Amino acid sequence: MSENVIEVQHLTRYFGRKAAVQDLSFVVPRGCVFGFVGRNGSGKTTTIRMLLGLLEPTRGSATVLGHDSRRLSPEIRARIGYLAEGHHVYGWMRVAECGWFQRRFYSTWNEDVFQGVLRYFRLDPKARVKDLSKGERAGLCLGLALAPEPELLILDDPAPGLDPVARRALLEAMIYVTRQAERTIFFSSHLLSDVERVADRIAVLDAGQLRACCSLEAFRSRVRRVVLRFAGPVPPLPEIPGLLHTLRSTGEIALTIANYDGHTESLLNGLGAARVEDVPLSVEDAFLSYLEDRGERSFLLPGAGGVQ
Amino acid sequence: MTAIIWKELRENLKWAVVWMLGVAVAMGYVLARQRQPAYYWQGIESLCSETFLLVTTFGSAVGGVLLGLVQTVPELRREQWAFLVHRPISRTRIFLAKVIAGGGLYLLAMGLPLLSAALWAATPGRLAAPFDGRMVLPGVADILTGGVFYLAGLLTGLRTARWYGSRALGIAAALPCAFCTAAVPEFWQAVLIAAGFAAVLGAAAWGSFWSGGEYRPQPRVARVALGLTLFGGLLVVGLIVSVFVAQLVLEAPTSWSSYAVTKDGAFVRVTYALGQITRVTDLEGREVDQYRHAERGAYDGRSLRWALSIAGDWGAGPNHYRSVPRFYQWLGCSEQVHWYWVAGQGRVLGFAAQDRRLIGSFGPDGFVRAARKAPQRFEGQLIWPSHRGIGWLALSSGIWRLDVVERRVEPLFAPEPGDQIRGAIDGMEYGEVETPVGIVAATRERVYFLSRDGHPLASVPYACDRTRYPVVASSILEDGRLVVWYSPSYRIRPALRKTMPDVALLLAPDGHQLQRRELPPIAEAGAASPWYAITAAAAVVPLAGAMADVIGRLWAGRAADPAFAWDWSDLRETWGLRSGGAVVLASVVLIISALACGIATFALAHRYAFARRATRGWPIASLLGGPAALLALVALREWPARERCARCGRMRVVERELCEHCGVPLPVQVGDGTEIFD
Repeated sequence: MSENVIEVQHLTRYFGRKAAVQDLSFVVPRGCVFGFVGRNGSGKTTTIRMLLGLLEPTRGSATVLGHDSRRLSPEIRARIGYLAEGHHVYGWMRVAECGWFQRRFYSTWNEDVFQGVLRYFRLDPKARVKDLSKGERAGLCLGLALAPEPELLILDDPAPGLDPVARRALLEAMIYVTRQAERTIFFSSHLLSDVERVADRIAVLDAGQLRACCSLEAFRSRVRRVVLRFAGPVPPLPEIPGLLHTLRSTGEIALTIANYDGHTESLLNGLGAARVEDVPLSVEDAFLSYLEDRGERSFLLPGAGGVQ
Repeated sequence: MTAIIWKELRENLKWAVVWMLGVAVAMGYVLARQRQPAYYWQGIESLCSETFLLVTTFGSAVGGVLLGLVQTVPELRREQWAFLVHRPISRTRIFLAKVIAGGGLYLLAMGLPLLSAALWAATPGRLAAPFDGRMVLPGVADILTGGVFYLAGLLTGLRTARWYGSRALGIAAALPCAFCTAAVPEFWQAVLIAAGFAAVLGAAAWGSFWSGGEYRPQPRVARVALGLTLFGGLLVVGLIVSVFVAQLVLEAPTSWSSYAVTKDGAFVRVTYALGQITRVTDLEGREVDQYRHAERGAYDGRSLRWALSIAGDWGAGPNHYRSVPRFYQWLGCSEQVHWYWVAGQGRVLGFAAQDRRLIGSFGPDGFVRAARKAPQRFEGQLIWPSHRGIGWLALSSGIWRLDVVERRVEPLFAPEPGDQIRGAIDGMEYGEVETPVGIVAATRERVYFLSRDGHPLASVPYACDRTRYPVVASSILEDGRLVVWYSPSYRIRPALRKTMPDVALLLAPDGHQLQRRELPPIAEAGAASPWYAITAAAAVVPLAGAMADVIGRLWAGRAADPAFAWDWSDLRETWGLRSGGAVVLASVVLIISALACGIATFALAHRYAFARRATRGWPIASLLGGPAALLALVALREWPARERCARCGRMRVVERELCEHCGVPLPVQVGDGTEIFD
């Protein structure tokens, strides 16, 4: 059995002249919770649709559970649970009918799991889907995705629009899945606190390109923020590798840097700062630094000395 | 699969029921009003009448398209497509389940009303007309055609293309199916045509479902089917547009001419404009003094007699699976009884208009009331369409007097043994002029002028070659003289036919020939097509279509009488052109257009780095298919973006791993140092 559940090689997708996803390469190890992070329109859903064979890559390839994503057989699909963005199920169906409909396709269907999720989200089996709240509908979709007991669960932005209670419930259900051996979860989100709470590994997608793919720990440790305080005006900055952001104010400059190492440290020391402070950075801050627009920002107006 | 069928049925049943009710109401309205349709021989509305078939034709086509759309568009719009297809079952089976459910709903919407209408019409006392089970077949053919439209609707819903662009071309491609199934003479031919169209459109719809609406991932058979569909759709759209433009640009002929005979027995040529006679000339082209300053009233039937058609080129008449005369022909209504000639029974049947039940039937041995043993059969077929009215019955074997009031039948005339009647016309048709002639009948050997009691007043042998001159007409002058007109067959090849004169015989009342004249063929009226119309038409016609037209005509006429076999010299008339120069212009433009399309496609194939087979195949297809094939290609493919190759500097398509010019892979993207990877 392969170590990796998903392997992506130079995956690229164009829509017309626009590259939605460009040259994506990463792997998802078996048994992990993999957070796929990016802003809206960064290409997360497009990538997931390519992984599931719903969309043809323009270039490159992907394997899911060891099979080419473009030709996933029904047997392989049975091992993949999928929760689509927006939780689209048939509004005219009743909750119980949804379960019946889904159960007809899966020999591995676990009715206890389905009923457990329904109870957890307090869903009435006789309720029509169109009458459910967003959170209830998310719960129903999660039940439909979990009950076949999939080996790989792919969740496309499962939590937007949900209240904190529903989000918490959803995350707890995800954690339940990973208790089972050899289960893998691949989920996309732009809710960084959710990612931080459950993910082992993350991939950060920005404008269709992969910026990071590592363990959560590695990400946390390799993005750092330092504040340099000067006695006089801040000198011009040299070319600093991995510089994500700078924030200038009078006599000091805050730098967010990726891949901070000894070379970076020596460059900063060469600036002659009176003091160099390491500012603690939460994972959410690190994500935001990563996902925000790059470059320098300042609270100083040109030619003015005060704080704006 | 059954779960998807259940889901589709539950989801769309309401639409099918709504449509079924609409169709049922329309059918019921047409049948229940018991009105006479436009064509007199149909009697009252039936399962084969134009109005009823209008309901089945449009109901099936529109209903099919709508059902196909409601089964696909909402699911795609609400992103439910991913939920539907991501399940452990092949997409082909999901598609099949959709089609099975959709087909069932479609049959419910169209088949149930038709079945109900058939049962209703078959029940005695419902329609005052005969019923034949085969009269359901036209409706069945329409329902099968609607199945093709259903697949076109599915394809339209599934394809990822612009609604105002090529998305609806599948529906346009289904239109020829409706025309062809309505045009072929037999039901089985309609079934074969519908099956052929369904195979192509079904494969195209399946491919689009399989690939999520994209072209590139589709299986080859589906791609070919989709290409054919778009090509056919573009041809249909092009035809509709060109007909519409031709209506605007081209001037319709405003005048036309025909021959007539004056009361003095002189043959003249009469020119009409807007339905009025404008000029009367002799055969040398001189205006006839008598009519030069005459008022319009001077041109009445006493003054000029036209040729009234007796027998023509139409053979057995409209013996078509959709035509009422295959089953019966309405002869007339007298004293609240509708009388029909029923070909299958060889009898004349009467139906009471009040209770709509059979009252009895006529055979050669007389009238027999319903519920008694039916009379004998008449021999021969009813002569179509010369027979009008219920006073007499013209069959190929003889002419009978029919007295429906007194319920009597008696023979009037029988041709010589071995001869057969081809046509007959009632003397009353000569209008206000009282003539001693009651009936004019043309047999294979002679033309007879009969008195009202069937006594021959005069007869003349057929004066022309029957094969080349099958069209025979007659006129009766006020003084009793007779005229027999012979015209060439409309099936004679155009170049020859335009040189063949009409032949007219002027006869004394006893049949003695007084004069025989050959009347020169009348040239077609109307202005020649302008050069720009010829150029525009030739530019859009596929080269393969023109070639197939010519080859088909040559092949079809290879064993026939040379007079009927198509020849190259007929090209001008065949293409509706007036001069040799127009033929040259059309041919040159046709070839230039084909070459331009082929070259443009070749350039596109190179620009977008088609696969080797496609690089060869598509230009050939465009060369043969013309602009429609080129546009089909443009509509069919997703055109990939292009970027400059880092090594050779030329533009390369983004969908290839290696540059198609220098074979070098894409350069590895260089990061800016902010990337974090394990």
